[in-house]
Amino acid sequence: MAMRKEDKMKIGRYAARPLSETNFYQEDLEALPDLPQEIIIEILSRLPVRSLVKFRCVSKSWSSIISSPSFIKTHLKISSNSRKYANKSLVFGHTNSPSKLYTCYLYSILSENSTANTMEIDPPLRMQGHQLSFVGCCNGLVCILNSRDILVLWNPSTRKSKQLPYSPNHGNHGYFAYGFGYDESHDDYKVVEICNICYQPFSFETPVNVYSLVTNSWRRIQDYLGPFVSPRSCVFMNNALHWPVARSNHDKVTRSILSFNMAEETYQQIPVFKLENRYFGWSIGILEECLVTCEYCEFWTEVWALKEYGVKESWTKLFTIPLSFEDTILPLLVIENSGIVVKCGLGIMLYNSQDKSAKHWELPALGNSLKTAAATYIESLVSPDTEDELGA
Amino acid sequence: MASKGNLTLKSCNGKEFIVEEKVAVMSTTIKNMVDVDDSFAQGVIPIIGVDGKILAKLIEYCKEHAEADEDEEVKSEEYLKKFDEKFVDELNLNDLYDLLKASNYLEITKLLNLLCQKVASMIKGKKPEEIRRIFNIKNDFTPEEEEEINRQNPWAF
Repeated sequence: MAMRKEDKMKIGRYAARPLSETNFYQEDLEALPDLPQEIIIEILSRLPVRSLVKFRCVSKSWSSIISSPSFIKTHLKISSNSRKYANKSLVFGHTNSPSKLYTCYLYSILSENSTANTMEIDPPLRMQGHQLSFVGCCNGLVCILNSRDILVLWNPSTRKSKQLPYSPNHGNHGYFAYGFGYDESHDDYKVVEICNICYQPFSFETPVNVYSLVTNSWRRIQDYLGPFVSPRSCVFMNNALHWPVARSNHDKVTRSILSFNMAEETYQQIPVFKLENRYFGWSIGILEECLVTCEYCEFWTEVWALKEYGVKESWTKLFTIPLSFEDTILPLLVIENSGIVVKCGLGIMLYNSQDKSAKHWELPALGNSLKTAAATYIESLVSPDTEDELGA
Repeated sequence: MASKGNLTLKSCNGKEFIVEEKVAVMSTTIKNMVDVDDSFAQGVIPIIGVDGKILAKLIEYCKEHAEADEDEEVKSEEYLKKFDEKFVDELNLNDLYDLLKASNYLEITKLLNLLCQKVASMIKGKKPEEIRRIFNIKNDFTPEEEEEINRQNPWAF
């Protein structure tokens, strides 16, 4: 206890200095000297990424804690498990040659002054000046594709990015569906490319290529021979990628969800409830840990959730929105059964199912843009480059 | 002497507390002591380095959570969340510091997580030099090294 008194006296002198910055927190912190390292690690693993990047220069020991792979994993685990939307962020921007993208915490778009909480962020260098789309997000990494078929892995929280090598089918003509996710059993991030290459009418090939971040290379796996995969949306959950697929036979369209197991690299079809022909478009997403589909016809849009993964009977209708959309819509957030936030062609919209009203967000730079790209991610320190842990 | 199902905890300044076993074993350290050596369950368990005031705080926290773990209906998640918020908000810095060390030593994981979350929200907007002062850390970077780190991520500052 004698030690503590000395500490307090020493600290008292420092505390007499005026604090030059207005703090986020009202209370002025005096001191918590000489905490054991394990407590320091526990505290650091609960900080936002921005603070951690800043605190790397506190000391060599803090820098090495923050850059260590085990700390990065612990931090990721805590941010994934925390309150539903506390750490979820939204990244969005024009699809057409964006020079700026924007990020904000997902819950902040619900506040009155949503633009105040939005931050400008430079897109990765190789993505500037081209059309871009978000392939998918996983553990804080965002996979971006541009109109020149260049793929980039990007961590918007640390601003680090990595351009991927070209796939074996780069430059071929056809349709390409992409997915991005984490293979837990091999501790590897993978990008999957399902190609539908037309050589001439009625002659096509459907190779599938998998990129591994660990080896930084592509390899061709077993071809996919099922129904056509929509390149528009892909969702990663339950260690698998999911794409909407459709097979048309005369007038009849059969729809389902294709799932791709990241560890075993095998395909499986997940049945959806009976989708009627009047629906002319659909997309998939994740809401509250459930796989959801959004289908739209001329007059309305329906949102359904697979409450129990893999159980066909558990499909439940969440919302009927009396609006139609021209572009793929992406569900972002459910507000306690009273509404839903979606990304649609015009930007971001909140539909209130209680009074059936729709509110569009006036987010910066989305004003006149007809098409927006948006994705949700959790903050993490995960590096998109295996050789470069957080700028070490 | 504690009756059956109760344990006696003794603080470093000699204060004794009789608590239900289910409350005391929220601490993994105490649980291990009781499991390994039966004499602790009968006699007095000394809690080294934790004074009466802090031990009372720890018991207050563990009591609420032990009861909630036993019967979810009595104490809802929401009730506990409110209790936790109030618990950390009422702490002064000295108590927070002592409780951090005590909950780490006694391995009361839930409380340690709560306190670390509190400290994290207190320091997240601070500058590196304020962090060094708060945690009494010596800056062992040369000015050039520090500048180099800051140069890599100017947006964070």
